[in-house]
Amino acid sequence: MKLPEKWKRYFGGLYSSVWSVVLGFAIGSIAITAAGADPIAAYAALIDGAFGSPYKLSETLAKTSPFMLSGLGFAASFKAGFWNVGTEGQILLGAIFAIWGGINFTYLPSILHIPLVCLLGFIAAGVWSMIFGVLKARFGINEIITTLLTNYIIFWLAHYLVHWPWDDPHVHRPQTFPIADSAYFPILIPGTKLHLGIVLGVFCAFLLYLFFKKTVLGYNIRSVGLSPDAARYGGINVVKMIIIATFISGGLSGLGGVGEVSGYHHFLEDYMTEGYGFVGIAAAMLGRNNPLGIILSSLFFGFLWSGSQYMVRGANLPVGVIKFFVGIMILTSLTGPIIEMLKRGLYRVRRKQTG
Amino acid sequence: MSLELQKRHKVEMRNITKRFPGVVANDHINFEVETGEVHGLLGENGAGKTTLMNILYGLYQPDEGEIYVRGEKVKITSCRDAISLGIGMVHQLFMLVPAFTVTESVILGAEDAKRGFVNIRQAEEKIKELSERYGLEINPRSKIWQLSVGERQRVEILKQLYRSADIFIFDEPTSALTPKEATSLFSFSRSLAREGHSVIFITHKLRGAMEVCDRITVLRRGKIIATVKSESTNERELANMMVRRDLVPPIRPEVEVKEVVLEVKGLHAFDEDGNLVLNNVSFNIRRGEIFGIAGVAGNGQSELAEAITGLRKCSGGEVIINEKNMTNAPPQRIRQQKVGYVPEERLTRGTILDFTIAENIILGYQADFALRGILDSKLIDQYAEKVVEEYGVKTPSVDSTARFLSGGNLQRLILARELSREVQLLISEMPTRGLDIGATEYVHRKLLEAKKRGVAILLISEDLDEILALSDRIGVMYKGQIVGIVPTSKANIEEIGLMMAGAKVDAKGKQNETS
Repeated sequence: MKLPEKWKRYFGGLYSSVWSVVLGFAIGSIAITAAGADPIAAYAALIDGAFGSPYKLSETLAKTSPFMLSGLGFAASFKAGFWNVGTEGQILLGAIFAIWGGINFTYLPSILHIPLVCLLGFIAAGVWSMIFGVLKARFGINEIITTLLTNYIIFWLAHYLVHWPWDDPHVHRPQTFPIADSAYFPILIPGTKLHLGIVLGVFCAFLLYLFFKKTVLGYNIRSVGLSPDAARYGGINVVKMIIIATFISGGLSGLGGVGEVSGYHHFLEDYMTEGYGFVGIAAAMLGRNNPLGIILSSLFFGFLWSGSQYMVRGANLPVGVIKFFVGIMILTSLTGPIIEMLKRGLYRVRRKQTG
Repeated sequence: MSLELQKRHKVEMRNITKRFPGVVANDHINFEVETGEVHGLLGENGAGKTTLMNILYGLYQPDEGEIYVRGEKVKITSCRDAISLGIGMVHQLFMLVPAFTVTESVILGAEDAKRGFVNIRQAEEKIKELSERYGLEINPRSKIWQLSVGERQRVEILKQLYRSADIFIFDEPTSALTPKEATSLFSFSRSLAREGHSVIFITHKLRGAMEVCDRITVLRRGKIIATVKSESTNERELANMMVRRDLVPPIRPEVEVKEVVLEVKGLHAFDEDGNLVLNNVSFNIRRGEIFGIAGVAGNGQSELAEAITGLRKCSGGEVIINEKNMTNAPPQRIRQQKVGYVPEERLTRGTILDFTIAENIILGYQADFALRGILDSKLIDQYAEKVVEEYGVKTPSVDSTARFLSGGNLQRLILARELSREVQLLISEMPTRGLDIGATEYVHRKLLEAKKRGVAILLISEDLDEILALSDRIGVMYKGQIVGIVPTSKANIEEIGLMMAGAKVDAKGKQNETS
């Protein structure tokens, strides 16, 4: 039986993603067994921890939103052939600007204050990531190096702000002043942690999907990513497209950081968003850089992230094993393209033989 | 069968069948090569020539059938087996290390080492002796990167001789050679045969096959059509057997040549390593004229196409299109001057393999299919379906990815895109390279149709026959220069061949007279 071509294009990617997840759970089970626990019980605790109560579910969805936005961010520039591994710093930069916007402009009503902090976070992280787009497109400087290493600049900037200028003297721990109430994201279900961020994430996913599918700009960016030479041949300004794509990319991650401040914590402290950007990259990979796929894959990582904390008590596992487990899931989520490549490689060999 | 008769067949392949998913690449093939014979294996792309030879060379295993070498039944399961049976293959693309000397390249993989030391001098002597015996002129000490394509091929052949091969398989050996190099390859092949070796020539070029082979076997769609003696056949008959239809030489419509569309004046350009690749190139093309650029690949033809289409910066000179100076204009602006471009690199430049057919068909014109930046997918699909049908692109739907198209179909797709728009100038670079006769004929027809409509065409090709058949005027490129421009009516193959090989560079301006 042959699937219609269109369906194949929509769901063909799902196949390898499912296999990567299965692979992750298989390796995870070995680790859990080796640690002397029962994998079934551990996974039961994982599922219960993520979905067991409305509160736990809201936590899962709240965790999902930064993963989703930074995953979308990664995918946006990936379509232009740009590996933005600076999502980690870009989330934090978005958070920093959300704090700045949130502790100033307090005279604004919510209806203006919330869009303002979103915009600030988006533009700040977007412009930051655009720098590396320019460096790559104009001077050929490898973006993996620049985006990865400059994460530290943002990290130490946040550290400085948290400990000195914005340090809240009323709290014993080093953390910033809280943002004004008017900059708080609305809570979707009262009494839970579920905030606007997840809606924003899903909205951006659909927007990005349509952007790439329906607009000339999206078409041009995809051309650049798939074949820069063909794009140039088609009259597309490759440099410009990379710069636009990196702006959108950083901006989306920044929005994820805004969500963490305005939606969840309402202040900033050290290590608050640690690892979110990298999980976002894993989500993008698992979702095959398809915006709609990233909705699913980031939900999966949200589930893993919040549920895994309950595995310690639920299955009597040491924290190290849980971290190993989550790490393995992130690693195997990157194997999707490898599985796909193997499939494609086989196809190519077969095709050559008939030639 | 008597022993005597068996001995005459150096190679005998009996009833060979090889199936691939969906295709029978070789269908009960009986093929034999005799001692001291040059045997041509003729057929279109995909006819099964290469598959058959890959079976003989141990790269594939046949599903059915037997192979006999020198009368003995053999099982060839790897190249190693083939080599030890004295079978040597010279591939289309040479696999040589540029920094090695000829000697080092030849002995690579067959070094006679004593206690880990290779006796280079001894090897050099042997190579010298071999090259003298067979008339393969080459200096054993020159480095591979210094050699021309023809010379590199000689290195590959020497490599087989050094391993004392006795059965030679040449895969499309003349495709990158100048006419002179091809002639010397032919005479060398004859001398191999005289020494009692056997040579198998895989080719789709009729003329070459007729010239060098004793016998020719024609394959079509995996089946043997006939094995004939070259003396008792002609090109027309062979072409008929290959495609089962008459090969009609394209008829060039006489078009009144009018105003100049493209004017190139004193163009200079450098490549990525800073070498001068275009050196004072000047010519013009008028409406309805096909200007052919002949030359061995790598003499600046690609760079010329890039310079005209805005993909390469010119360091000097001018490109004038429709009386507008377009020197170093961005590609988009040049396209807007109604310039189409069929690039040599079909897979990396002419198409985006992961795009759908429809997406590929709007490449370069995407803005025309959008309203306020939003693509009109209905319009795109309609347009794509129309031109796909018009240009006979074989695809299940315009939604499938271009990756699944064959070479000929990809070229149809590119032509469909570039010609279905209202172009006034078409740059076409090696438009039929690697295509079979059917697809080649189609491309030629389309180019001539465009000419009739008044399109000015720059035709860059390595295939001299193609250039002669289609062009009104011919410019020959050598080392970044146009060494001569001649009207086709006064063209002479030998002279053009000499120019391609660089013989006329120093001749004093005699050839540089243009129309």
